[in-house]
Amino acid sequence: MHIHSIHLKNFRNYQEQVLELQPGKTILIGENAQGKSNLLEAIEVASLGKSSRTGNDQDLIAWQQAKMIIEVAYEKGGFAETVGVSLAKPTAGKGARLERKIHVNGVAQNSVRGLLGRLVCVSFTTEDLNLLRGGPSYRRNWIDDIICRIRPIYHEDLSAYQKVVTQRNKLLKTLFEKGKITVTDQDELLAWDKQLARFGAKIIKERLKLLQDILPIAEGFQRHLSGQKEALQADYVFQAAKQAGASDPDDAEDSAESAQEDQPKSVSVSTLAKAEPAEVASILLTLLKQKRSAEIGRKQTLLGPHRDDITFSLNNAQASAFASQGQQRSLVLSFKLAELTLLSQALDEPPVLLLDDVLAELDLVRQGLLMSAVKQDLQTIITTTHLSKFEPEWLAGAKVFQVNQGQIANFVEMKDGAPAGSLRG
Amino acid sequence: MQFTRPLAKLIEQFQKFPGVGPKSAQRMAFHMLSLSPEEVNIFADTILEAKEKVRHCSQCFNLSELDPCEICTNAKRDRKLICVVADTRDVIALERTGEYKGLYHVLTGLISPLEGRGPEQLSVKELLGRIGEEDVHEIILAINPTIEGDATVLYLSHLLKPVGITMTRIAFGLPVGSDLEYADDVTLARALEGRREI
Ligand SMILES: Nc1ncnc2c1ncn2[C@@H]1O[C@H](COP(=O)(O)OP(=O)(O)OP(=O)(O)O)[C@@H](O)[C@H]1O
Ligand SMILES: [Mg+2]
Ligand SMILES: [Zn+2]
Repeated sequence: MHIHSIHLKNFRNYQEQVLELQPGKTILIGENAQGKSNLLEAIEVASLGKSSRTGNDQDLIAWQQAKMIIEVAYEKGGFAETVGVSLAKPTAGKGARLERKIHVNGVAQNSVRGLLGRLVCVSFTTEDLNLLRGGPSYRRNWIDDIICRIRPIYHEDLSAYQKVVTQRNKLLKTLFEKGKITVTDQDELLAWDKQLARFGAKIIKERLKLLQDILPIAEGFQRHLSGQKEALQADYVFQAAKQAGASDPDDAEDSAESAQEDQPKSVSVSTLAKAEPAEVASILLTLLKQKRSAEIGRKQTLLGPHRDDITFSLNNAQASAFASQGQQRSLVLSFKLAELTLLSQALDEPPVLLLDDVLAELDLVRQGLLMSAVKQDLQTIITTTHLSKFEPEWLAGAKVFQVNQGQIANFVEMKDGAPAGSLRG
Repeated sequence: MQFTRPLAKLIEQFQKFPGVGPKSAQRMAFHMLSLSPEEVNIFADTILEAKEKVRHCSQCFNLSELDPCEICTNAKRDRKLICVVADTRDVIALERTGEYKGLYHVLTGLISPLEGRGPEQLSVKELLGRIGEEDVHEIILAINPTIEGDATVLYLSHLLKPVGITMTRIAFGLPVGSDLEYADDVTLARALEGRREI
């Protein structure tokens, strides 16, 4: 898969920009704050319908402008396709929601789902270390985004689940304020428990399947980077309460408090993975029953995939706590490369690779590993402020563009490992 | 410059309608002003009459001028069957098929905590009453497969299970005459889930 052209209109600091790309390597070079990351972000938005940099879509529209447009033409499976995303500020001031339009091959889509699995990208950024250092939501988003690109319909399960959580939280809040809980209330809550368990189990099963698929691939990369010394493990942390029997009905008053102290129970990937979705749902349902009073006390849904996490370990030691900086970098790189490999397999062709500022941070061994992945006919778009830290191999055959204040200048062909201009220096 | 007060108030009233934005509300208000006084009177009377005469049937909660409604009093209807729907519009839709000969029960909504609707705001108690008093053999749930619809179905099935009555839910699948190829993937996935042996 490769991008032919990108057309931006009032996106971030770009007014009007057309960029034509070739298969193979493209390097975007420029000083800080010129728009290099913005360009990669535009590709990400065309790919996933959202940006990982901001939760507020309005940020994507150039300041003082009312509407932004991204159009990307690319080739997939030998066919030319286009995707377009536009965002417009509302005209009437009241319902201040952005108007979002999505087109695939000129056909309007009524949901982001229409975009998923079309233009597929994998991006490596300096933020990737959040896979270890960031909060659980970072890891959940990472895994969910991979699944969405492989199985777009998963997006539907995610949003259904989110709706259930919102409804259920509202009910818990109502019950908390009401104080007394009737049989009817219990039964209504049970109906929402079942909904939560049903969609929650689907999500947990998909995440487990993905972990199972990605782990052996990442493991291979990690072994390579560590000289065969490090075994990699990833576990799904099922945010569940202590098993039944732990609480005494006489302690009912304390139960809300003690529930907060419960340690999440880590369930190994293989155990949960063997269970049928219906079994996972019934595990969830049982645990929800135990958590009921704590949930009402806290007015929110305390367990389910929206609170789950993933932990990584090296040689059985939890990586976020014990791995050295270098080991952490290797681990993250291994998983990102595994993501790339997995998506290539799922799509039957490599996705587009976006490398935002990451090369300069990688030592030669890691650059080499990345390089060997990139070799296989993969369109790669690289941003950097300096070319000097690159292995010469990266520069060979690369097209270089200069990014300057939201404008991208024509490329300079690389000759003998150096650009034909005076970029180096 | 703003609309003169009575006109502004009229626009406001129209804007309270579901799906009506400021533009359409203005159009409606201007249309209203262009009508003759007689026409406006007829309109106003129609609203008042509808509001006065249309009410929930005390048995099935269908909207009707008569109580009990035409369906509940129809002797040709199969009284062993009750089809449970969310609102009167669903009754109309099912009646259009001409295929269903049983009775109805309109819930007057679906469970949705966000909209402040729980089982107590719906006609659930009355449904239980009917099942207890009448000789009902089967309950058919004709409820949309949305988050709120599914939650309502789960609630009802839990509630009715001890009663030991046959409960079914209408199938959801592909629109007739539609092309598999063009079906929306969620609909297709649903249809696959609800597949039947042949
Ligand atoms: N909505 C917007 N409208 C106009 N300009 C914006 C908008 N959002 C961000 N910018 C500008 O874009 C610039 C950041 O661009 P970008 O993140 O692409 O920089 P970069 O070239 O990747 O720099 P670095 O090398 O530091 O990573 C900022 O200076 C910011 O002022
Ligand atoms: Mg940047
Ligand atoms: Zn009736």
